[in-house]
Amino acid sequence: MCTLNLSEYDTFEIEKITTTSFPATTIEAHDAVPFCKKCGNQETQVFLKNGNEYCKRCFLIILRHKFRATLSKSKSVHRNESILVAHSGKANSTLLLHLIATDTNESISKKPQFSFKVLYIDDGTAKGRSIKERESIQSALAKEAENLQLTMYILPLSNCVTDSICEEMQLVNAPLMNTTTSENTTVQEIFDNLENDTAKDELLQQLRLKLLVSAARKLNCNKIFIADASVDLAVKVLGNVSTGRGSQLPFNVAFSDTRYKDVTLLRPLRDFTRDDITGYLECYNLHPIFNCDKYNSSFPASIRNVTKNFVHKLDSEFHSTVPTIYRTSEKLDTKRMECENSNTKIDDNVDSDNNICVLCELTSNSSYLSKEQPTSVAQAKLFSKLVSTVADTSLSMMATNSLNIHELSSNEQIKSTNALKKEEHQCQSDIHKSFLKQSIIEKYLCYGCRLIFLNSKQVDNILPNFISNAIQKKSQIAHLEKEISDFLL
Amino acid sequence: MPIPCSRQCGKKAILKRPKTGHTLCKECFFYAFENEIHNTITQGKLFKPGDKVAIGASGGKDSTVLAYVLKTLNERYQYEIDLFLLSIDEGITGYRDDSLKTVQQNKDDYGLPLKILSYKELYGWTMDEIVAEIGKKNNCTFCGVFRRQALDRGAALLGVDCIATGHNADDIAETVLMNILRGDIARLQRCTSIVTAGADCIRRCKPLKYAYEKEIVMYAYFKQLVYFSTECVFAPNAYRGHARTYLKDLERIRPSSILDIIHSGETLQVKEGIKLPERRNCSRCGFVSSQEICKACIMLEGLNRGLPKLGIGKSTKVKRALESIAKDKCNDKCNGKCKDNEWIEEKDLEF
Repeated sequence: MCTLNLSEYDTFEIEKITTTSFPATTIEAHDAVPFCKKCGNQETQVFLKNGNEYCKRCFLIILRHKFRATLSKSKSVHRNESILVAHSGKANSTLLLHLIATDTNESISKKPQFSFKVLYIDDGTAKGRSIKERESIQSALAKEAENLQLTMYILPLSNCVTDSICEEMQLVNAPLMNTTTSENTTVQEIFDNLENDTAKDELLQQLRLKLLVSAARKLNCNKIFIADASVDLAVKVLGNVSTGRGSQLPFNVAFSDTRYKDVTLLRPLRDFTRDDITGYLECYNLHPIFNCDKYNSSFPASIRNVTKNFVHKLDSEFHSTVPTIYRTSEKLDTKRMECENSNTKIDDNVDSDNNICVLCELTSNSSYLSKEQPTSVAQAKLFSKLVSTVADTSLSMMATNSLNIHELSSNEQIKSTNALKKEEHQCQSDIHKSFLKQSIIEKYLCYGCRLIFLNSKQVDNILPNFISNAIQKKSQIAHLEKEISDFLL
Repeated sequence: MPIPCSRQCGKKAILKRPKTGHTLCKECFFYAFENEIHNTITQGKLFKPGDKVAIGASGGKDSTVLAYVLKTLNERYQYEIDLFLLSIDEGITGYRDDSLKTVQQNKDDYGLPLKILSYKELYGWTMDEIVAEIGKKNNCTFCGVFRRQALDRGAALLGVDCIATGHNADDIAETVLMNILRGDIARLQRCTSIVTAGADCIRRCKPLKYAYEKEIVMYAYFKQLVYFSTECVFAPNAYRGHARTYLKDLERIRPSSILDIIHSGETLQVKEGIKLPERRNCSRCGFVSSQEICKACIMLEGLNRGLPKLGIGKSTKVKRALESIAKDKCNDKCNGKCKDNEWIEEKDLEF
C-alpha cells in the first residue's frame, strides 16, 4: 500500500548541508551514484544529517522498527490494551497516526495488537481562531480519520471550565459541537487575564493535559500516546528548566509518565529526529493539517516559542545537541526532601497528597527547602520582594529573622509565608490583599504553575473552576485535620 | 507624573528593578541590593568570623561590585573577615593589562591588599603565547582551565580560607543551560550550589548568586564605581554565545526566568545509579581534578610537547595521546627504529 510500489521516485534532499559537512564519506565511498547504506542496491533518496543515506524502503523499515523497538523495549504496553493517541494536527502526531494506522492495517504476524482511539483537543478559543477556521480544521481531521480508518474524537477546550468534563465524547465527523458561548467566553476571559504569552501558553499546555487524561478515563484507555519527537523533548527540557519546572523534568520528558495513577502517558516517538519526521512525511506524501508557518504563531512571545526557535537553530548547526539534551534529561531526578523531621504528625500518604500541585499534579516543591540547602531561589525571591516594598527598616529586618527562625524550626516554607503575611498585615491592607491571593496560589500550586498566575490582572475569576474546587477541597481537609489534630497519634 | 518609590520612603523612584519590577529611589535601591547580598551571606553561612577571604578580582563589574559590597557589609555588620583581592594575569595584551590597572585602583580605593599571579609565573606560558600556538579557536578552554586552578594556587599561596567569586545570577543560569546543552550532569548538579568545598580544597562561594547582572551594573553606575568593561580580545566562546542570547531573550520575556532557571537547577539531582566522575587530586600537581591527571597538567603537557590541541578533544583521545607520549619516549630510547609507527601515532593526534 505504500508509495514504494509507485514507479516514480522523486529524489529529495532533507539536508543540503550533508554533502558539505561530510565530504569524506560521500566523496570517497561513492563518487557519482550513492547507494543505500542498508541494502546497498537501491539508489539513495533519503539523506540524513548524521551522514547516513538510505533508499525509501529501508528508511521506512528503519523508522517502523525504531517505533516498535521503543515500545517493546519499555514493556509498558500490553496486548489488547486500548490506547488514546493525542493528535495535535502537527507533523509529529500526523506521523504517529499514520504509523499506527498502517501498523494496524498491515497484516504482519509479529505486530502488537492494540486498539487505538484518537483525540484532538480543539484549543481554538484560547488561540483566538475563528469558528470558520475551526470548522475547516475539523473537516480536515475527519477526512484524515476516514483515510486512516481510525476513530477520532474531538474535544473543545472550553470543556475544562464546565464541571462535568466530557459527558459524552464527540466523534470528529459529527457537526461542530455548539459549545455555549458562556463557556467560550469564560475560557477567553481566563486567558485574557493572564499577564503574558508565556503564562497563556503554559496554562494551555496544562489544560490540554488535563483534558487528555480525563478523556482517556472516559474512553477507558489507560495509556496515552503523545507524539513528542526528540526535538520536542529537547524543547521541553529547556522550556521546563526556564520556567522553573526543572524538578518536573523526569515526568515531563520521560518515555513513560506515571504521575496519574490510572493513566500512563507514553512518548513512543522520542527517538525520532526532525529528519526522520520530514523524511517519513515526504515518503508517504502526507500533509499535516497545521503547517509550521501558518498556525505556529499563537503565543509568539512565549518562553516555549523562544526555546523552540533556539533549539531548532542549534539543531541545524550542531547535530548532536538535541540528543545530548534529551539524554541528559534521562539522567535527572527530582531532589527529594528527607522526611526525617519527626514532628510531622501527618502520615506520608496525606503529606505527599498535600504537596501535589492542583494544576499539573506533580509534587510541588514549596516544601523542598531543606537544611542542607540553606539558601534557595524561593527564599531569595521572597526577600527581594520584601526588601523593595516594606518601608520600615526594622520591620523588614524582623521579617528576615522570623524567616530565619521558621527556616530552622520547620522545613515548610508556607509557615514563613504566613509569618510574613502577619507582618504585612500591620503595614498595608493593600499589600495584604495581594499577599493573600499569592499565599493561596503559593500553597496549592507548584513553583512553575505559580508563575502562570502570579502577575495576572484579576484573581477571582482567573482560576479555572476545577482549580478553585480542588483548592477548596484541600483547604477543607486541612481544616478538618486541624480540628482533630490533638487526637492524631 | 513622578513615580513614587515602592518602599514608601516619600522620594521619587529613579529606577525599576530588573529583578522584581519594583520602582525604587536611589537610596532604597542601595538598601535593597546590599541587604539581599547580606541575606544571602548570612542565610548561606558563607563566612565565619576570622576567615581570610580572597575576592577573585578581574577588574570587571561583578568583582568590582563584589569587592565594594563585601567591604561595606563587613564593616556594617561586623562579619570579622579579612578581605584580599586576588587577581590572575593571563597575559593578554590589550585586555588584561588594562583591567589590572582597574584592580590596582580598586586596591587603592578600598584599601584592600592585592595579590597578582600570572600564568607566566605559574605555567610558563602567557595567553598570548598560547594563542600564537593554537590559534583563535578553542583558546578559551585553556584560559578557563588555567584560571580556575590559578585561583586555587593563589589562594593556597596566600593561605586564605575562602575564595569569593563574582558569579551573578545570570552567570549561574547560563551555566545551568550550558551544562544541559553539553550533557554535563556532574557540573549541572553542583553549579547551582552557593558554596563548593571539599575535604582538602579551598572553599569557594558566590555571594552574588541571586543578584541580577543588570542590577550589578546599576549599582556600579549609581555608586560610580570604576570598572573595566571591555570584552576579551580573543574570540568569545561561540557556543556559550548562543546560550547567552537565549537567556537574554528569556529575560526580556519574563524577567524572573533567570531565577527560575536557578530554581530548576537547585531542585534537580542526578538519578541514583548514574555514574558520576568522582573528585580526586591530580597525581602530578595535587590540585582538585576529576581525572588521574588534571586538565591543566594535560594541556600544559600538550603545550610543552608541541601538541597544543591535547586536552581539547575527547578524554579517550587524551588517554591515547598520553600513552603515545609514553611510547614516544620509548621510541626515543630505541633511537627511532620504529619511525613509521611514530608517524601513525602523530597523525592520530590531529583531531
